[in-house]
Amino acid sequence: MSQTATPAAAVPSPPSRRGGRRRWNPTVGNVPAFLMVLPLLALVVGLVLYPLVKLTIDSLTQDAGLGNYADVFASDATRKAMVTTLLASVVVTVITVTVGATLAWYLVTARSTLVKAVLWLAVLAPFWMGTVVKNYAIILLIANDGVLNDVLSALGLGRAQLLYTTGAVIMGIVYSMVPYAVFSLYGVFVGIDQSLLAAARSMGATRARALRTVLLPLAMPGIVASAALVFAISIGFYVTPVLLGGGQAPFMASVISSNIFGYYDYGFASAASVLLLLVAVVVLAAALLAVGRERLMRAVA
Amino acid sequence: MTADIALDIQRVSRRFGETVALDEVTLQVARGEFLTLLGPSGSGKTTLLRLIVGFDVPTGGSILLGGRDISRLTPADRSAGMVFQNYALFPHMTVADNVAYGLKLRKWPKERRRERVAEMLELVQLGGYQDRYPRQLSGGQQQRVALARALAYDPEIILMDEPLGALDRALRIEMEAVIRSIHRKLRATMIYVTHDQQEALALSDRIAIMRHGRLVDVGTPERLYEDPGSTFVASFFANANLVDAQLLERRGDGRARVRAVGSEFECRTSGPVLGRPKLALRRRSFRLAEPDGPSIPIRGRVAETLLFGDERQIVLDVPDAGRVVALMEARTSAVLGVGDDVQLHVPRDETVVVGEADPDQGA
Repeated sequence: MSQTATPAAAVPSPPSRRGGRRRWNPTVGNVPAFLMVLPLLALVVGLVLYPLVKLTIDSLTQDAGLGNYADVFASDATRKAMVTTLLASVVVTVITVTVGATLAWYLVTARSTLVKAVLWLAVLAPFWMGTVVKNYAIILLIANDGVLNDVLSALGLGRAQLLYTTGAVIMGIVYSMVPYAVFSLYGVFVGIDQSLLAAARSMGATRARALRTVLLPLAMPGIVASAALVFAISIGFYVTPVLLGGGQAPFMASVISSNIFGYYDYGFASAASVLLLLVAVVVLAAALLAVGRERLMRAVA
Repeated sequence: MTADIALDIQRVSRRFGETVALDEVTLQVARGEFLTLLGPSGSGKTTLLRLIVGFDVPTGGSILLGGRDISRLTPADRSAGMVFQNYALFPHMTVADNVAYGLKLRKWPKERRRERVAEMLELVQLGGYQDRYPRQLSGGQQQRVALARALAYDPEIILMDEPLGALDRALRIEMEAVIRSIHRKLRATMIYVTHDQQEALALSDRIAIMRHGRLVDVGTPERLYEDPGSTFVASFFANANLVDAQLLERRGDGRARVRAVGSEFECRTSGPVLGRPKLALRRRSFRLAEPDGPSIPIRGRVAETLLFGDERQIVLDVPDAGRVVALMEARTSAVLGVGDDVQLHVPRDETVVVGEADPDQGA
C-alpha cells in the first residue's frame, strides 16, 4: 500500500528496507481501513440489507400485493399478536431498564471486588447460555410441577398456572435482555462523575434526591437509548414466546413463522414482518429525536 | 468560650481494617476562623474532611458542630458546604441552578432564591453569569461558582478539598485573593485542605499540620515558621535545611549550647527536642557578608547554582552537614561559582534547634 509521507520520512534517514526501523503510525490509511472492514461490509450487505430490500419488495408484489397489508390488519389473530407483542415489550422494557440500571449502578459504585465479580457473573450468565437452555431453566422453575409450585403447595397455597402465560414470556425476555441493558448503562454511569453526587449530598440532598436530581438527568439520554434498544430487540423474540407462552401469548414472530412454514402465505408473512420492522424503526427514531441525536451518539459511543 | 467554638473534633479516629487513617485527632476551630489542614498525601487530611462533611463515619471519637454531635449523622442532617478539587458543578444545570441547589433543598421561595443567587455570584465576581453552563466557564470561574454554591445556604462550616489543585499558578494566586476577601467579608468558618504550604501561608489564620493520620502541630503561620517544634514541621512547612546538631548544654529559658556545622554557639530550641536534635537553617537565612548581630558561619563548596529570577538557589556541600540549600538575592550571589569554597553566614536568631515529633517513626 502507498503510505502518506510523514514528517519523519522527510528527514534524510538511511532508507534501509530490511531491519530498518520505521516509526509506527497508529492511524490507518483509508484504503487499508476499507479493506479491513470489507468482509464485515459484505456480510451486512448480504445478510441484512439484501433480505430487507427483498422482504419489502416481496410484501408489495407477492400474492395479494398491497392487499397483503390489508390482510394483516384484517386478521384478528395477527392483530391480537401485534398488541400482545407491543404491550409485552413495553412491560419488558420498563422492567429490564429498571433492573439493568440498578445492576449497572451497583457495578459502577460497589467497593468490594468480590461483589462486583459476582454481579458481573450474574449479568453475563444468561448472555452466555443458549436460548433453549435459558428457557428450559425458566420452565424448570415455573412449570406446574416446578420448583416454585412445589414451594407454594408446601406452604399450603396450592399450585398456580405460571407457565404458558404472558407473564412467563415477559419474565423470559427480561432474563435475556438484562445483559444488554446493563452493558449499555454501565458505560453511561461510568462516565458520570461520582463527586457530583457527593456534592449534592454535601449540600443536604438525601441519597434518593441526589440520584433523582443529578444522576437521572445526566443518564437520561443513555437510559432512553438503552430502552429503545431493548424494545426493538424484544418485539422480535421468537423462541421464548413459543416455549414459555405456548398458545396463550402468541408473538408476531410466531405468527410470521406459521404463515411461512404452515400456510405458505409468503406475502402475508413479509407484510407482517415489514410492519414489525417499521415499529422498531419508528421507536428508535423517536428515541433519537427525544434525546437529541448528538447526545444519543455520545451515550451509545 | 465554648460559644466561640464552631467545630470541636474530639479524639477522632478512622480505621480501615488494620490501617489507621486517622489516629485520635483532637482539634478545635473557632467561629469565623480560617483553618488549613496541611500535610503530605496520605496524612489523613482528606479523611478528616470526609468525616466532617459526613461522607464517612469515625470509628472512634466524636465531632461537634455548633455544640451538636454530628459524627454519626447523614450529610443531609449536618450544615456544611463543600468545595471539591474538580469543582463538581452539575453540568446539566445553569450557574444559577447550581448555586440555588442547596436553597431549593431548604425550600427557599423562588424570589428569595433568585436574589440570593445574584448576591452570591456578585460576591465571587461572577455577576451576570446566571444563565451560563459550567462548560462555558474557565477553571477559575467554575471554582468560584462552586464556592458560591457552597456559601449560598449559609452553612455553619465551609470545607474546601484542595480547591485550587487543578488551576495553574497565576490563577491560584488570583483565587487565593478571592477566597481571602470572601472570608474577610463573611467571617465564615472555613476548613481548607492542601499539601501546598505557600497556599496555607497565604490563606490561614491557623494551620494544622498532619502526618501519618496524626495532628503534628497547630498554630498560626508565624508561630509555626519561627517556632516549628519538630523536624517535620521545620522541613515540610518552613522548608528548612536540617543539619545534625549536638546539644552541649540545655538552658531553662528555651536556649541551648550546640555544636553544628563545625562551630559551637548558643541558639534557641523549639519543642521538647526529642530524638536526634537538628539545627534548622531556613533557605532565605543565608547571607554573603557577616551580619551585624551574632551569626553562624557556614563553610562549604558550591555544588550547584540555579537562577530563579529575583532569587538564586545555591546548593552547598558542607562538611559534617551534607547538602544545604540556600535561596539568595540573585544579583549579589552571582559571585558564587560552582566549585568555589565559600563561607556564608546565618543570623543566629533565625535558626532554631528542633527534635523529632515522633522519634519512633523517624523524621
